[in-house]
Amino acid sequence: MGVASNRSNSSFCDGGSTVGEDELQAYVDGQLDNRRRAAVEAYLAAAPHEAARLAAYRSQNIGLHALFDPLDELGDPTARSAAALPPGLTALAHEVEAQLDLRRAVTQPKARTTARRLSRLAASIALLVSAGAAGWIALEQNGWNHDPLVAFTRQAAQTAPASPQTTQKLGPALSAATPVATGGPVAAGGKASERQVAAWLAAQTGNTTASGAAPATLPDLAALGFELIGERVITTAGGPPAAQLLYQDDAGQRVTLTMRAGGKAGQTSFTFARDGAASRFMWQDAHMAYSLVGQMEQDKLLRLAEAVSDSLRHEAAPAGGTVAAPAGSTAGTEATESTVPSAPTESAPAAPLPGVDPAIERSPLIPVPLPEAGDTAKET
Amino acid sequence: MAKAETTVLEHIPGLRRYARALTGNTAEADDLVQECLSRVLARCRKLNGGQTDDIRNLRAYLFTILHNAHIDRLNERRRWSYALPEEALDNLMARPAPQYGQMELHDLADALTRLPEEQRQAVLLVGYEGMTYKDAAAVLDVPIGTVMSRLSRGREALRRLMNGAPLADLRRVPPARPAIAANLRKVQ
Repeated sequence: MGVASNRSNSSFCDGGSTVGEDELQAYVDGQLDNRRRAAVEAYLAAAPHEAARLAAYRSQNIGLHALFDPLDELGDPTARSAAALPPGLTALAHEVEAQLDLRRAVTQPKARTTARRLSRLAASIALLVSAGAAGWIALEQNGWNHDPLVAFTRQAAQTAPASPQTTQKLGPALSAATPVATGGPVAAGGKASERQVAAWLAAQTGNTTASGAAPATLPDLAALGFELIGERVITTAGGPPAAQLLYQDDAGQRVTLTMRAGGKAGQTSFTFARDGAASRFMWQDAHMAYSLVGQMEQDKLLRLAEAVSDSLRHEAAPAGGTVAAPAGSTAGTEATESTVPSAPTESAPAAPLPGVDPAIERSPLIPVPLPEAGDTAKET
Repeated sequence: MAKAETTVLEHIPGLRRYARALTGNTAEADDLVQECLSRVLARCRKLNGGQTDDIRNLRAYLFTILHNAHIDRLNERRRWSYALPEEALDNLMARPAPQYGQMELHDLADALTRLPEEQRQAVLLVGYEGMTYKDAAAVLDVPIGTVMSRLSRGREALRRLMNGAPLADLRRVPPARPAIAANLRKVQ
């Protein structure tokens, strides 16, 4: 069922289309389908009070994370592990899992067949993703129309915790295709391609006319233990090219940063969406729109997003200036109601680029959707 | 291959985190998670060979059991008051909150303590845990429409409380906690 179809306590009319309170809530939570999101955005554009109210709700979510996310995860991104749990809980969890597993084996042979089928599907997706353009067409024909990437990343994220029966079979196949999964080694990012993305970044500066410069060097996440391991410039259908950077930490955990030219002057939004195990942060500055995706808890990804954002802001600061961001610049990460411009959900596949290290080209960088706060519509 | 044992384990941090926010107490939260797992285990053993729980969504299932354990505890107690979680206070003092002023964060925590339990649950499940409405409805064992209305009222109550507006429809307004408030203001 779609949230859109819910009856609502109150509704508002906006040029013929009616937006309900339930839909406004769903908009805040990223649980509104794409079709209705446009109606909600149109409504909000005409109702600044309502937009402010929703922005406050969104900011409550961020505040709750600041309040309750455990402190021990603050400094060390790898601190979150089973070992950090009280031993009693760990033992109990193992025991529960053994029991659940036993029951699955006895009672759900059908689920296993489904799992095998899904596993094959996932494996073929993995191939398609690395195959490039042809893959996207095939993927669309598989029924994931209008944004295979969104569907795919969501699929990868949601199947994991959502259905234990299928997870075990699906898991490994998806790992091969998912950039955010902890996986094997990937090709190291070469200097040549780094210059390429850096050049692309610098070119965005040329496209913009005023208010500073776009970053020309790539975000450095070394302080958080993440190293740049892959990158490329991708083309988007009917839009400007975008760039993707893949980072990985010592534990093999990965995050993908996607950047697209075209920000919104004077307005920066920093919003998140959570799809099962994967978290996504989206924001923009005067030059670019950004999306950071990782299969990890939100608070961890948040720190990475902040680091990226900081790094880009410092980069954009006038040369010779102090590195420290001015106090006012924290507004850059202020939670606001999403004002991300219509992003290229219609992102085309990454076209093979001449001169790119083929090893990098093979690395499973998946073009992720750029900021689209509401595109996590759940088909429930 | 993702081994089966990892599956429940993966949800433990989330369960603990939610339990902390729900109870406002770290020890109580771990106790609650422990009880949740014990209940799941007991159910598994009882049901083995016979009729089984239909676990389509392990996360929602675990949260449901946890939630039920929490409700049972609330019912056992004659009086329950949700206090500002001490961990939240630690967070407030230790963590720089770039997107959120300390004062604002304190106001949010304070407002949260003043929400009716049911609204707080909805706000935490959806707003904090990022759960879908459908799953939250399953966990709370109410229709989706009820989740939506609790969520909507809870968020609006939080917003108004943070803006300093009194809420006529608040059932119970716990006494302010001047000591803590003073502490926090000192930190700033």
